[in-house]
Amino acid sequence: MRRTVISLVLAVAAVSLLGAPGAWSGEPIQIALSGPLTGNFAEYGQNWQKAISLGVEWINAAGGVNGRPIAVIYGDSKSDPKEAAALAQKYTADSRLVAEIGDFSSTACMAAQPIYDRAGMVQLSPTASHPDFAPGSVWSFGIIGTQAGEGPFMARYAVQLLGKKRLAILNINNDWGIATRDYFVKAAKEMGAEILGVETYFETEKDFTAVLTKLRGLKPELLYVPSFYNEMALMSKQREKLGWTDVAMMGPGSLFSPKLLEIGGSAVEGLYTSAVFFPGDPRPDVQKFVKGFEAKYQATPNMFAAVAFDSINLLADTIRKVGTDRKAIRDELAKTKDWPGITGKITFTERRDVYKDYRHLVVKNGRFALFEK
Amino acid sequence: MPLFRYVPSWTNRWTWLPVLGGLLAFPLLVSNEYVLRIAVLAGIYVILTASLNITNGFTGLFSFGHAAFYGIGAYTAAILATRLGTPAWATLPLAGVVAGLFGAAIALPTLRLTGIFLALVTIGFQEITYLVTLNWVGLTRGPMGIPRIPPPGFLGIELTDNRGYYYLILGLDALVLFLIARIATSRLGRAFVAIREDEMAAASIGVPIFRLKVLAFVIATCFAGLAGAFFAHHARFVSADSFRLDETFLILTMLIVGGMGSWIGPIIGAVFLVILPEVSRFLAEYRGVVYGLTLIAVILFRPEGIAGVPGIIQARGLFSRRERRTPAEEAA
Amino acid sequence: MLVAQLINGLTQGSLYALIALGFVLIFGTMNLVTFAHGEVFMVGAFVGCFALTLWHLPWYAALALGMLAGWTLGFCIEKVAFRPLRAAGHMPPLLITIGLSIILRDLAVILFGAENRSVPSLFDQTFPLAGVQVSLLQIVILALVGVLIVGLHTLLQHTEIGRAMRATAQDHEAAYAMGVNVNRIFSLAFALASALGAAAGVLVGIYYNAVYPAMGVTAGLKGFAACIFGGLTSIPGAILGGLIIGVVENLTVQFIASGYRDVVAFLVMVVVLVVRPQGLLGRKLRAV
Repeated sequence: MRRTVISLVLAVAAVSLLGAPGAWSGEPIQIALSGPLTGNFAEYGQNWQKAISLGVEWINAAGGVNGRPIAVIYGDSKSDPKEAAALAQKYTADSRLVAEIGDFSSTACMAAQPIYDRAGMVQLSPTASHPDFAPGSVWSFGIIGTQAGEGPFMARYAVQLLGKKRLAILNINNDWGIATRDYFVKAAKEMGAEILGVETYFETEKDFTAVLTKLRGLKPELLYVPSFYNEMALMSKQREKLGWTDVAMMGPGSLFSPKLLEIGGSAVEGLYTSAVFFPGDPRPDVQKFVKGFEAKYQATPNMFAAVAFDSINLLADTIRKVGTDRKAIRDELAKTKDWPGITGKITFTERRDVYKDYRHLVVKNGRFALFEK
Repeated sequence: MPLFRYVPSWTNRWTWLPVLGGLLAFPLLVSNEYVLRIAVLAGIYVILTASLNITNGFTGLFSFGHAAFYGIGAYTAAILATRLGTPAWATLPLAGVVAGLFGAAIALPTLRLTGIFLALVTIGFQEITYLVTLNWVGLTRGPMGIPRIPPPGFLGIELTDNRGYYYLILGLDALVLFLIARIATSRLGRAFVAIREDEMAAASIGVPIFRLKVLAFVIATCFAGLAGAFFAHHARFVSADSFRLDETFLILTMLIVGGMGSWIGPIIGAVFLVILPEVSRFLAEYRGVVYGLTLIAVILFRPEGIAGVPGIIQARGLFSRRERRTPAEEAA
Repeated sequence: MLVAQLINGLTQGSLYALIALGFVLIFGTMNLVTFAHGEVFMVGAFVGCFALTLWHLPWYAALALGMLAGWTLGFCIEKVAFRPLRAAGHMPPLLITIGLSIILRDLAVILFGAENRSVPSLFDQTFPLAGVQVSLLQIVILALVGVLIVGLHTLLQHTEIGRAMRATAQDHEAAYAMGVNVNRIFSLAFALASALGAAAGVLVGIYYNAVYPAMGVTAGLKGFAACIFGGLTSIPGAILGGLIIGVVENLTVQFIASGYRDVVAFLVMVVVLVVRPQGLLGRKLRAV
């Protein structure tokens, strides 16, 4: 009983200290981040963190935003919708936070969306590509493009560029996976391809041998796999183990990550994918970012780092124009037109998503390379 | 009297009226949204733990499937609210009813089992419920969960901040705990305890064992469903992942730490374990380890928990209460 | 394709059987249940993974090391959870194993991260058999599980200590009266069961090329289901249960949908418990 009372008192004391607001001017402008710093998508979140740290460093070194430094508060959502929603509740209640960057997966974003919407705080997702995300709330923004754009692009890649007409699909069973599949399938069918079979898997699935065996029986020429690097790597290894080597493998830009190569090894050789950002791009701002990232982290940045870098800079520029009022930031952000990002020019449509230019990629000799016919 | 015997009643109203008053005044003094949110969470777990106490504590059944009914209630409310636009004041009781029906459906074929077998079959149902929820995408949207659940609204005013939710869960807690107090002191409650203490003796004096076990189970699952519906309207997003075996173990841990078989044990356990990880960042990061260690420490040193009935887990620890009286002595 | 699924199912099933055998050993000898077995499996898997990836040991060393880790962990668990509460019925130790499983899983997440850790591919070659491509790995796993089972059988039937274990399982009070050091037998049974569970972990990690902290949860429960199917105290029953669950799971994926794969084990468990709690080959149970 005494134990309980003591811990209750401690709890109330500790937490009421947390709630004290900080002074304003000279204090850093705080932006919240919700992303997978641990868990199955940790690679993506950690790339965000690296790129955003770099961005913050450069912004502050150049004098900050209107004389004040920027600070990012990192929150680990593991890209889990429950955690994303919980972080959203925490962030929106903290009046020092002026905007939020995150989350990684469309499902996590959509789970947190009503909370940001109700409280009135910008939710800028660097990677959510589900077409229903950004239109769902006037406070939601997505900068990586949607599957409505990537789907037809990948369909053209498979059907017209590579000439594969017999296709099968294996997609992750969540909002994003289903949307990605549907847009690809629709476009592919219009181009005359035949969809032989569709299978799904849950995020935590480790055993693909049974479902791969089933798909193999349909004898497709190409397998389109809306997935993330973890499952794709595992799946490729198991496919190799089953001796199924006469099928082409393709997946959307979510796969463009060094970890795919690291885990997948020889099994992912020849995999086709896409990117909105390629470190070999000769543009000066892209090279500045790539060189700076390599110098700081001894690693080449991937697409996820690039979109995160664009996110923080876009927000910083917006705040520079209108200050730290949450609504003002939203209104100005929505007007963004031809903002020069390293992933391309960013203009928000009235749905608050963007159109992107994609590139064809393929894994050649253990590295990602631009696909050449 | 020892804490585990305490049951609120009209005669001892000056023990609980001030507490109630304090709880009512709390949000007027503390406005930090984060603190209020923790309080709301504690309120949800109080209902869950107290309802688990009905089966596992009072009646001595080893039900390990509680989270499934929590989930059924949450999904019922979510589906009704998002598909049919049912308002919260209707989804809450409906969720309780649906969860109770599922409880009856599961209880009838399985409550003839006892001990570890009952535990295993309830785990089996728990996992089957989870997998069906995950796969029946047409009803539940599967792994995508159900987003955009509307908040509760009364008389045209929508609850938008944690203060409103706090008062709502306080009301629900009061209702559930009041009902449990009435049950505990009634013939029904004594029959439950009799079943736990000595099933054969109870049967021999005419207690309808099976029927009452089912009743205990159904009452418990109804309350769990109610908590689930509240959760759905509070988090405004439900996904099957929130209702797995882990969650049952968490509720069970709260029950054991607080104390099984008493009215106040579940309240203490739920509040303590919800607040504990918030006391320090360290505890929050090692949350699982802390819960596990607490559970082990309690079982090894004080199996009845903080305020549970001594001897209820058939073990006595270093810090346990001294003697154990028979039911006859207790009734006197 | 059916044959391929069958072979897949038998391989996976043999691993479930290995886990189930652990439960049979523990329940048979001590009349108790542990919920931490899945985490022992997980620890074995991680040790095997580290042996292969960090310390670059050959596969048999990884397996041996994993089993050793399982043995040690099992020994400690028995000391902490079961020995102090000998007289306390089965609930308190069960609850302690629940606490241990929570702790082990959380520690694994804190120390190693929740994400998959990659395990290198071994025995990659495939060769045709009965019209399908069979992987050498599948053969190796089936062989290894077979060896372990035969070893267990030999231990139980043809050694002094095995006889002591069987006597304890039948009636531990009578065994005690006959001079058997029952406490030591309990420790031995638990440690042995844990070593088998850990071995399954190492092999699962190699088979799926991945280990991760949450892998023990479902594995443990499926092993339990197999054990219940065969009868809580029957070794051949557990093996049969494991194999059947493995095969039916893969057939479910082929003919129904891959998402329902896990339902098989739990459905089996529930149906057996409701219809015939002593399982297929178990002996009639005393009240527990």
